[in-house]
Amino acid sequence: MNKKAVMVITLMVVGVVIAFIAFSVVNLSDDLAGKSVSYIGAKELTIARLQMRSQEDLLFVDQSARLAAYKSVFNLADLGGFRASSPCGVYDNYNLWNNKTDKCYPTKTELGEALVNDFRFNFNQYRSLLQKRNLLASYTYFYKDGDIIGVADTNFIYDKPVKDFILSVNPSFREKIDFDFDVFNGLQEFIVSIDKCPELQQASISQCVQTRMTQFTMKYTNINMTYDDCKGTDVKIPDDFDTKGVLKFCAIVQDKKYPLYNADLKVAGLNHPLIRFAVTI
Amino acid sequence: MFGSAKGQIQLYLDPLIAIALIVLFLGFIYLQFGGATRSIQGQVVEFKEELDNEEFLLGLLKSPILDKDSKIFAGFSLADLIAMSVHRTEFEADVDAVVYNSIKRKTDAEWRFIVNAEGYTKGYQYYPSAAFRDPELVKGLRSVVSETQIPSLDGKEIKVSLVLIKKK
Repeated sequence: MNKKAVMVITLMVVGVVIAFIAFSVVNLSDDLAGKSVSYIGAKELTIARLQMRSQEDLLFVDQSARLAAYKSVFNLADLGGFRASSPCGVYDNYNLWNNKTDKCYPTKTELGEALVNDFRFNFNQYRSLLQKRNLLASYTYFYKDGDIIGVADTNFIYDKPVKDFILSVNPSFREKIDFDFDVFNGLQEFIVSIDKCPELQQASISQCVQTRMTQFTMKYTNINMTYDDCKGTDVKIPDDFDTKGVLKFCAIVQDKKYPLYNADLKVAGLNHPLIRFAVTI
Repeated sequence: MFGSAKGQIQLYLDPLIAIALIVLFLGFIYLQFGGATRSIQGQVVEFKEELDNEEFLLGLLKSPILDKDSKIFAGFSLADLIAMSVHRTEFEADVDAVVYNSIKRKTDAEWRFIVNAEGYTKGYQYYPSAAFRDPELVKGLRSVVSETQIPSLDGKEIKVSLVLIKKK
């Protein structure tokens, strides 16, 4: 072998050895440093997974809004359509829709405001679960056309897994309540109709109210109304009615049932929201 | 003349070492980049399955359940029902049945998906859903292929899993 060939082979061997050592050092140093080898496309996959994660969180928000809305419907019905106490007063834990001097039927606007106000409280309880996962957003709430709308003032930000990448998702929502506030208008119509009963003989008031109630339920076939304790249709007008002049009513919309959790009994079930209110006659 | 014995060995050794090192180096390169290619391909395949399952699970949870035998549940989503079913109620069997019957999906002759929900019931005990209380199904449990959280009616979190089960 001539000297030139030996030199070429020797240089080649030296070059390969250096390249091999350099390659090994680069790889081993990553392994020794505990760094995972990142392949081409790994970041893109992480970003796509983040997108999926954000969809899960949006489902959580939507579901929270729905459950909070269900609870608000029950609370609104229980308070006779008011946020808290009726301006006309409270009788035996029933909000009064009128008294000797005033009428206090909840209007559609008031019903919407009361619903949103209660919804805000209920939804905030679910938001604390999201906050634990570092998903922070503040909301402004509206009631429009039977829907509760939550407009997020800030977005959910996902920025940790991939350097120099931020996924920002707006968690606003629109939840259909599916509870017709016209029921309250129908009930108001019934109250106006029994206003004239006292003009009749005192002994006939009970019969007059009963007749008006029958007429009302014939017109609004989906509404079931009872006196007093909401337990049945045969409950008599209470004995002290003559002296106090106040009647308590309960109404349910028969085809409307929503999930409700009873914290006292620790059970959940589908229930009718009970619209409870009292009327001075 | 062919030179000394040392020269003879050197003559054969140098090319052999060079060839061996080149082969070693090429092998190393192949393992690195070939491995990377396989790895990313594997990740893509895995991700596609993950995405399909996740979309399936989320779609399922959002869908309203319409069960001809239980009209009471019409209009509620599967997530609504799960939010109720993790609490033990008088109608738990019905809810579980609706959930179970609505979500089982015949993927092929061998496998099917079901959804399992884990939550805390009254008394705060772990309680799997009806499908998992069936020992015959649990025997064939293959793997959890996707999971997410949904809120429950009492303000807690429920872990919902999509599980692939092998038919017997």
